[in-house]
Amino acid sequence: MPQNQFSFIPDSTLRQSVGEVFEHIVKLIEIVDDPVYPQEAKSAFCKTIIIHTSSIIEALLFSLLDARYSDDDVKAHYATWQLVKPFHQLHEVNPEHNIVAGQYKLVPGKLGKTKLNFSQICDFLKAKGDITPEMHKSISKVRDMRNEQHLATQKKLKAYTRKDVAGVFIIARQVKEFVRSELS
Amino acid sequence: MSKKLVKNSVKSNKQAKSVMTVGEFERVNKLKLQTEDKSMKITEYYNKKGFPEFSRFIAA
Repeated sequence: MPQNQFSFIPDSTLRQSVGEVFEHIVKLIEIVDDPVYPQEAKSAFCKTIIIHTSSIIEALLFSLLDARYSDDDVKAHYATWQLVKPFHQLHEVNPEHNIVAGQYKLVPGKLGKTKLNFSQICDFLKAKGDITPEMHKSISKVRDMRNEQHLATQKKLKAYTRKDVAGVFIIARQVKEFVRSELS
Repeated sequence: MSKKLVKNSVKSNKQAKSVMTVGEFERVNKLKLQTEDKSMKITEYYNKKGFPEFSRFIAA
């Protein structure tokens, strides 16, 4: 099933990883409503399903990025103008404002494709016009839910339900359909 | 639409429609689902289980 589900992912290792995560989701769905588990456990299962599904969305989007862009494309996208040393101070306006003479060069970004995080993958694809602002917004909602695994930033305890899971599956389906058609 | 795009679209639709049965799904994933009807489409299984969105994710 994993191979059939995600056969359109070109990279074999990534395809296999996504397949394994998909299997975890299948197994969790089998037990998510099992009456032997308390509500807290069911919430934890839902949260894990959300995190795994989010990882699949990230992998699908990375596949699209990887197929279309090189490391140099990514580095060029994250290039910034930097003042090259040495430069000469012409006038100090105040301690926080100097007038200088020197060279201003465009320096490529340091991140290659594989170093991009979920947020950067989404932002890059949106900036290049590969995904629409609407799709970017939908994916951002899933990303925000996945980031709730970072407990330190949470202001209150949250319980996860089938409704939360359903919302993530809807977006995952949209992304899967889109990436499949783009890579076929 | 170009011939290539039409061909790819047809190919995509065929892939989307080739949904496994519960039995095939169990064999590939090496697990047992909560039904004895192994000929049921896997999408139907998840619809009945109350996860229609997962069913559509599989079929996508």
